[in-house]
Amino acid sequence: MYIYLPVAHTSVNILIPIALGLSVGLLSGLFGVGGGFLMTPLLIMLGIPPTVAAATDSNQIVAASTSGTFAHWRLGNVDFKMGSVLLVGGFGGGLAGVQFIKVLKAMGNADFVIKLTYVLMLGIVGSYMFAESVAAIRRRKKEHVEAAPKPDSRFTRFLKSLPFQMEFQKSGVTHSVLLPGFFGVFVGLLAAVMGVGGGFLLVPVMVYMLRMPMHVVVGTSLFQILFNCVEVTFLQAYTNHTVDFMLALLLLVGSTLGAQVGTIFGRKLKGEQLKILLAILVLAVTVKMITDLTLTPDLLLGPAGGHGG
Amino acid sequence: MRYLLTKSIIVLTLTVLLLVCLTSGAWAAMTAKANHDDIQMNLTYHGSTVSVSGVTDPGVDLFVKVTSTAKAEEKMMRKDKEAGFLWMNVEQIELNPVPEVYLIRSTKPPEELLDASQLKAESLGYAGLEENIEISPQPSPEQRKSLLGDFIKYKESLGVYSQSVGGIEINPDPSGQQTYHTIFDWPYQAPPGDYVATAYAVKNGKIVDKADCKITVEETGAVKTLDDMAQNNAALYGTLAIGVSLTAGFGVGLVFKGGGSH
Repeated sequence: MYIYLPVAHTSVNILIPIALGLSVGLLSGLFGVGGGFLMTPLLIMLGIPPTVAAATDSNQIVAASTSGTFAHWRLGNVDFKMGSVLLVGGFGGGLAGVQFIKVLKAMGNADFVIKLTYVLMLGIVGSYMFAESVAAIRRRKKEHVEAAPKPDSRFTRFLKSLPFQMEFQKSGVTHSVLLPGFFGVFVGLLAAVMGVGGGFLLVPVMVYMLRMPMHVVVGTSLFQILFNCVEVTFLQAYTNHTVDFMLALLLLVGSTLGAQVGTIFGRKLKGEQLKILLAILVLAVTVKMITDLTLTPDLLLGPAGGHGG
Repeated sequence: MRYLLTKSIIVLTLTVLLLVCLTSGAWAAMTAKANHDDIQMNLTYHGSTVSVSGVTDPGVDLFVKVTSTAKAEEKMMRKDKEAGFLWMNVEQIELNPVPEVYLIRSTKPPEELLDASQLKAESLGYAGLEENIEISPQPSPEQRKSLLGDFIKYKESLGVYSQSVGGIEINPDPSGQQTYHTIFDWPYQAPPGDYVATAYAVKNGKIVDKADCKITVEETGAVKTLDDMAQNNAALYGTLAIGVSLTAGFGVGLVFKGGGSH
């Protein structure tokens, strides 16, 4: 059965966006990522114009991340205090990122910088998470016991010396509020440059830089993504008129269910297993991007507008 | 003698007038009618078919073209290699004027029926259409050819451009003329708007007649309501979209209450 999409001006089989939503929602619930870096290209492949695909994806992420945040909140996996600090930082970073893009566009090399940043960030994050998770699993198998806490490194001591120390009880960590604020700005900046929600960047930052437990990371990341996507959806609808509500409705039918199922599955997996799966996903996207960038395209012309999601 | 001369002049004049009338009668005889000239886009819309038919003089070749009445500028991104090996969007180009939809059929290849200047004058066939498109910034002739070729392929991939030879059914008519009939698959990707189907009769390398008819594609029901709201009441539309998403997220969360919380 087909449905006509009023803003995308195209017709799709109802089952396809529902299935896409289900798959990406599952990943969202599992890993705490919005899934825009997967969903937007898939929607474009379905024949949705790039600008509509990116904007509508933000709209459906609102539903998936609400569903996921709600599920993780009931499991006690959302650190609202940490999420709020990251959110404030991310908002500032996003504003700076938009200005940075304007400068790049004026210089004429925005696309080059964006794509290169995308590939580098995905490659670095994916490789590091993969290597670290494999090492952690091996270590655990070898020792059969939890690793003893390591003595504080020089970097850790430096972090502890920063002012405005704050205890984040849910995450079981104490940091200067400047630290998550700084990383929020950093992720917000990169997310704006790359045109993505930033979940796949924020998750490693919370795991490796803020030392938060993986399950709390997933819930907190979804909380932050929810607010980002509410803002992006409204701006896209208001300024660009590119949100297709019918498409978003079909996607969210799948993604809200997927996010719940993902949360249940995630509960059954260990932190390292979650990290290694996310790393494989991120590396697969990196390989796909590198292939797209290096193989000669069929057409040397493409539609203007849109971003990587 | 004078009477005879006057009579001859009158007969000659009447003959010329009759010939003119007959000739103009033949030119006016070509007709074009679309069977499905008001396409309604509702929620279950998945494209349509448009058949164009009419009568024309016998022994002519035909073009039948369906295109949008409004032609607009289209912005596209040109890809090229950066740093020697990475394919990137390197610049935005503007093509103008380009139709939203361009479907054409002819009884023989366009280049066999008309010369380049006539194809260009009526935008007949991709060759004629391309000649009328300006590209900015102006590319080299080789690059222009390549860009236009890729543009047509891109539009074909969307289903909104097609060119084919054949597919026009021609039959003799009892009146001594001939009827023609062709069916186009109407692409669901074609946006709402006004379109025109034009039939051209070609003989001895010249267009000898043409006729056209209008096709209207319009949104109805929920499609129209949502599209209008998205364009004209964007703040309400955005708020509604967010509200429904939040409600759906919470709703599904409540339904899954048992599963999620163990």
